[in-house]
Amino acid sequence: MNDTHSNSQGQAAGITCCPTCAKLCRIEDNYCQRCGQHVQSRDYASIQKSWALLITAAVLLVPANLYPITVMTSQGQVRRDTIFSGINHLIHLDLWPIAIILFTASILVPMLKIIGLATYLLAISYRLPISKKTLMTGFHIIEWIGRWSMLDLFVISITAALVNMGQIFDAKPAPAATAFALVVLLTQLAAKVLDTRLLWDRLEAKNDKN
Amino acid sequence: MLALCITALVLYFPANIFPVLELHFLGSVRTTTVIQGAMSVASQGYWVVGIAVLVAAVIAPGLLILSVLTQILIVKYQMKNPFFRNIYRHLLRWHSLLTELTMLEIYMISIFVSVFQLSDYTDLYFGIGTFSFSILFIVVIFLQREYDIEHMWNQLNE
Repeated sequence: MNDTHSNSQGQAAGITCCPTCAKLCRIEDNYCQRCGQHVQSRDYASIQKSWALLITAAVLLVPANLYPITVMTSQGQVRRDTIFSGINHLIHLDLWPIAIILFTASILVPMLKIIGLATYLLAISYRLPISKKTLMTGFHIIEWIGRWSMLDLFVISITAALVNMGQIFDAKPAPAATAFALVVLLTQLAAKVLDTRLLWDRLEAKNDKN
Repeated sequence: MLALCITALVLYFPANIFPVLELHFLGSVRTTTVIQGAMSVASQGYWVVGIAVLVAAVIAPGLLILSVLTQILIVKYQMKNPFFRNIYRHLLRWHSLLTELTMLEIYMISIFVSVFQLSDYTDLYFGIGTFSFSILFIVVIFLQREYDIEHMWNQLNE
């Protein structure tokens, strides 16, 4: 008896948590009593929405890395930097800490986010043998660290505003900036839209002891 | 929390009006504020980037501070009034989105990254704006730490 209690879920008892204000609601009410938000036990369509956003982000990641993200003019010489060549340049200048920060924020994090979210979605759909604790920790890290990709865009906006002296010294954003901004936005949305409760169901059914 | 809120609101204006960075190059001086940064990117056709910067570093923090301030005032004085209760409910609903969009800490790091990147070419100086912005960022961190959304929702139960 005790054992079934510790494993029982709200779905079986007919109650669920309001996604907005975290109040416990009865599922048949459909709307939260406190904040009026629509409540449902599980949002099964969220997997599809999340996949759609994630795939778009993955496609956009290609132009974001291939096209130049900034155009620098210094004493008449024009230099087009992609994300990667920009970081390379910083390493040549021996600015290691900055290079590492930028590498993490603009290459590592978006890649890890897309791979991580894809693993997460696959784990829900195909019941991959990964413990749910690992998956959940990974998901929270992805959600938190994703914001830091904005760093590169802020840096671009600061430099573009400061450095505008025509032929002598000039910095401008380039096409990849838009693609990169969209990658950040879409991956963030993909993580936000997903109903994480689905994971608990699927793995609960398998009765793994993680 | 009310004190933190008012401090943040007071700091918000100098942080956005005064330049966060000054650049001296061959005798000419260039300054930029957060808003100018966003505008200069947007004016070159990258409006997606411009809007992202504007929302994350200017609009969202401002709305967040205002929203928390209004919430506190409503809880303090107008909780009985159904009209204000309704406003309060809507503000709470939007709160999590606003917190997510507020990226002051990332902007702070970006300022330092740009300083290091550009210091190779020219001299850079911090302005009053930089100072206000850093203090604003610290105050907002404390504000978010003090703020407990569960507690705010519970106010509606009574």
